[in-house]
Amino acid sequence: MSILEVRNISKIYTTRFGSAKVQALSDMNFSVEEGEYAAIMGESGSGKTTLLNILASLDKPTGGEVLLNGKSLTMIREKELSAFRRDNLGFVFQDFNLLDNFSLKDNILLPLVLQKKAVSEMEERLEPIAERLGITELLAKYPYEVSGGQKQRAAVARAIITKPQLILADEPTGALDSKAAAGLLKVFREINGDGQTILMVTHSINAASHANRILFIKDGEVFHQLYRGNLTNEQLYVKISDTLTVLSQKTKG
Amino acid sequence: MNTLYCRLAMTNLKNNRQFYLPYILVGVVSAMMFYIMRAIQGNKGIDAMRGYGTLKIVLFLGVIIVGLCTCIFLFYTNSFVMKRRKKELGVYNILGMEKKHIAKVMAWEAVILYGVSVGGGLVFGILFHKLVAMFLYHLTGLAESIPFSVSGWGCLQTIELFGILYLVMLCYNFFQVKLANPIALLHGTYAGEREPKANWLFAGLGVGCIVTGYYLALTVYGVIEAVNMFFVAVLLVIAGTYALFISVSIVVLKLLKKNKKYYYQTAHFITVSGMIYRMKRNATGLANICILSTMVLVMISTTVCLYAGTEASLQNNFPREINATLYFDSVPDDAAQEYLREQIASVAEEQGRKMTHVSYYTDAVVVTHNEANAVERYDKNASYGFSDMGMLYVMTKEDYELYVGEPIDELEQGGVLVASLTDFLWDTITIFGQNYTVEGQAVFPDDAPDGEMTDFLGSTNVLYVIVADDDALNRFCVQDQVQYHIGIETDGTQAERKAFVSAFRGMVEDCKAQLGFATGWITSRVEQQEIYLEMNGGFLFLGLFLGSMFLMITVLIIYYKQISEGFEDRERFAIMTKVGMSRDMVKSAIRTQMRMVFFLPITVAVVHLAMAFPMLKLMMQIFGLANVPLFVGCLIATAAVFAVIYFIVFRVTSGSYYRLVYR
Repeated sequence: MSILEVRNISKIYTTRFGSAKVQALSDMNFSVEEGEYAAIMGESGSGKTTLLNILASLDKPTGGEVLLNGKSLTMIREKELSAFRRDNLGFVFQDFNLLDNFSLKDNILLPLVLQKKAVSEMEERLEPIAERLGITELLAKYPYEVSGGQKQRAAVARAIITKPQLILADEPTGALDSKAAAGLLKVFREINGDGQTILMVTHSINAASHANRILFIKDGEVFHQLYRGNLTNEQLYVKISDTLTVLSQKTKG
Repeated sequence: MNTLYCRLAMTNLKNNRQFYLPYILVGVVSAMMFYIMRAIQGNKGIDAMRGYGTLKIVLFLGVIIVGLCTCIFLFYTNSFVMKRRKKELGVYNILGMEKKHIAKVMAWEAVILYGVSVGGGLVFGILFHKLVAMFLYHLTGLAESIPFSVSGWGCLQTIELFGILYLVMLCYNFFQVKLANPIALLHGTYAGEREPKANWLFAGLGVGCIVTGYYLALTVYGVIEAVNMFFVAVLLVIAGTYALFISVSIVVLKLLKKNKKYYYQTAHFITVSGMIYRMKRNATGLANICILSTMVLVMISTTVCLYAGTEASLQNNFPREINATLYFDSVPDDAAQEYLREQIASVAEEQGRKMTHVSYYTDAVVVTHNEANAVERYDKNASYGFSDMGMLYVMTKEDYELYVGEPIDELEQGGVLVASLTDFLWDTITIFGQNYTVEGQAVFPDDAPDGEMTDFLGSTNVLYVIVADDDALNRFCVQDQVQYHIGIETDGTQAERKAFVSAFRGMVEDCKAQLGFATGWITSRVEQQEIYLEMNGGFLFLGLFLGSMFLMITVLIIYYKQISEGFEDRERFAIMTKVGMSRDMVKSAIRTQMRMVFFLPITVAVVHLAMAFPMLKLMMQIFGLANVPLFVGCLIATAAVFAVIYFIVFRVTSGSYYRLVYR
């Protein structure tokens, strides 16, 4: 069953004085199945960020609709949106977005505190997640005291602690060195293995090659899809690379 | 080329109007206040004024304080603005402007700011000078009319003072830019923040300071002690206030954080951790606000109280329209007393005054050292300090009976009655080596003569002794003279009463040689009234003037604090929104923190004021004000008005904060 369905969405930005219009998304369609690990690739300006903002319910499409578990995001009232986001979506950002004035533990617990969970439950949930991500020792530390990779793992912990339907990751490896990136991708694989649905937006072929399906978008549309099938990461890497070359040549032509 | 820099400077000021508008406003208002103060103080009319020149001194003090405050205050504002602008200057530097060029732009900015501030200040100053002067004249009961005038000295000195000030600030800013490299300038506003550590020692010291200060203020007795201890207590409380905001607050917040049940609730979670950071950055600012608020409250409430209590303190300090004290070598005989009384009656008749009350009594007053039931002369032992000083008042049974208005039992030769504020429980009393039997305790109905002395010296050090007759009293006059007191109350208008007192003075002079006495002092309530009004009105004027200046400073500190917090919080709340915090939640979290940060200083200020009350009450007695309910009323009214103004400022400035956070 599809956890996320994107149906014919389009987004048109109008400049401030209404003279020029920019089509960021045009008639985009795709869906993500439960338990899937999908990556979206595209160049700057291809509409990735717009798409992600719409999926995150931070922005509204001009046309079409987005269904999460069969429920249309556009139908949710403004007031319930943040609660909806909190309960159903988990976010991992390129720049971590951890709060400097909270320890890692408090950063991870923030969504649960917002959900008004009991302290005992918070700690019960935190313990296995922290262990799994290897940050148990770091929980008392503050974001400025740990490395980028460790920050991103804390951010992942924050994203999954609410048991969301879908994790949206926006360039999660963008600010990490290659070793930290490899570690993070391994973490993503593992939590995907536990049944967590992940949708990742990325520039990085390496990051995308860990996903099970890759969607290529260009000029606001889904242009091509790749399935992993039985390929290894390395084989998939080559295939993605080839596809991107073809894509960029088509642009030139 | 120069016009380019000038244009660039103009654009900078315009783009940073959020910072510069209040800065200019403050400059204009300070220049205006300084000019007005200087113009009033330098006015020749004040020189020619009657009175003892108290007003002149008060106004001179005012000029100095206004000048000083202006300096500190503008400097504070300038350094705040500079801190915020470092990034912009860094960009110029990176874009290829040399520091020399940046300096030129900054110089132009300073010139523009200076011109607008002083120009505007002088215009408003000249416009409002007359109004303020009229207000002062009204308060001090002066009737002179004030012509509209421009004070050349006032203008010149304002231009000079502000010129020097802006020049110094410009140099400071140059120095700041010179010290920094472009990268540092670029990141000047953002430096990684560590969570503050809870400093138990400092917190403990702070609490100790405040408690000691409060203890001093609460347990003080006697005016002299109050004056002596006042500054100690004030310093302790000021030090304690800084510690309170800087470290006690952190310690308390950390304790709250340790309590998991409390901490992990939506409202507390964000408030507590947010407050820890706020306190770290703003503790000094908050402490400043708190101390300034306390100063405004004390200054305005005491001066309002003095002014409102002028009549009452006149009545208290001058219970009779005329009080005269004459020094005789021994108790004047009946003939001499009779003669004086006749003379007074004839003066009254001449002046057409009807005396509603006339009273006379004689006493001997000796400065002593009192210990248990032994009284000796204070000058007997050179090592006696101020705290060993006491007073002995001796009066006859006859005069005491007149004073209290009812007859008492006969006293034997060598027997005395003793009155003191505390119970006097000994059977005998030794005065200057002579033993007397204490036959009982005397009580004064409402107010003992010179009763305020007890406030100065402490209640145990003032003794009143009542002896059998004139002979017994004369024995105390071997070295000291006896004082013959006359109290008169009359009818008549102010002018008539003034004429009466001068005729009375002439009569006393005429009798001097014949009766053989020296004039101690003759006071007239109607004359004192003018002096009181001048002094209290002058104080009230200064209190209100400086109070409004401090209030302006407080408001500005609050405004800049809000703005800088707004910049810092913007990022944080943006992240929280992304993680799933709703706008309403963000709003309420901000509101809670703002409220705490805002009302903490004024709450502490009010507590300080309440604790200082016993001390202030005593100090008011120096100015002859013993009306406690009036003082309490003034304090409460001032605090209430201040709270209202403070709240309005809160509402207005939080608007600009919200705009920053939600942008």
